[in-house]
Amino acid sequence: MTHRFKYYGVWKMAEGACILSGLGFHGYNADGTLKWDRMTNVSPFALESAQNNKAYLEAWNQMTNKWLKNYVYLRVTPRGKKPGFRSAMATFTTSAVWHGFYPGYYLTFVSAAFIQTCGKCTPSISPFLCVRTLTGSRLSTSFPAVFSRSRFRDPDEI
Amino acid sequence: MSPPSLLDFFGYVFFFPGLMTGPACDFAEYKRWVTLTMFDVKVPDPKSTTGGTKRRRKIPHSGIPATIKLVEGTLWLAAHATFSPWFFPEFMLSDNFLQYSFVKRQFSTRRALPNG
Repeated sequence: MTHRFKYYGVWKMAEGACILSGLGFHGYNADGTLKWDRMTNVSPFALESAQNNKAYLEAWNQMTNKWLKNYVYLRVTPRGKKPGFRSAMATFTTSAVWHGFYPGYYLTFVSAAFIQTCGKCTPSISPFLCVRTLTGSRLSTSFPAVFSRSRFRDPDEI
Repeated sequence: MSPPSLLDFFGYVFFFPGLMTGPACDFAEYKRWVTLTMFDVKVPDPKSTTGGTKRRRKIPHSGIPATIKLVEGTLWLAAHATFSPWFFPEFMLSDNFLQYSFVKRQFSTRRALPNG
């Protein structure tokens, strides 16, 4: 969590820079006040209190998510079809390529595509849903990490 | 729709929020911002019969909302500097972490103290 604070910090500052240059301008509210949320990139509260993977990923790096959705996810889907697992995998792989060439990126993003697709299939019967709700958030991501760690290390040590 | 000119294309590619950060804005937004057509919207005004008034200044003043974001960002960075010595991901890879029970590990990923 504290690891994410630095992302919140720089993204909020960058958003401020975009607002200052005018790029953050997003029209007017009905009462005539200005909207400056075009370049909002992260919603810390929505992210920390996310109840599922979709809400979690949606609150993180929002501008890039939007770009990937419009220019990869919807574009690789054949015309007239609904985007499915293959579109999700292509999108996450694109994001991994953008991030760089460490194998960890590919592991992370490919498993994120699986997690996202699973969350789409079974949003209501996920066994961790109620636990996640109770603890606020994030068990969805910490659980696989802790589980894999105990699987890798336990035979020797416990 | 014709493809953008070479100058527009490279302008977008080398524009920092363009390709380098993610991309954080798409080409159409960039183009409308650079040509100032993004700001051709009318201010809603209930008294007006044409649906609103046009601003005299193209880009609205944005110093105050930008400063608020700068302050917010600074506070997040201060929080990061304050709390990262107490909570850090490396703890999950240390041997102390394995002393925890399975249930406790679930919570320790977020609330790890050094030396367990």
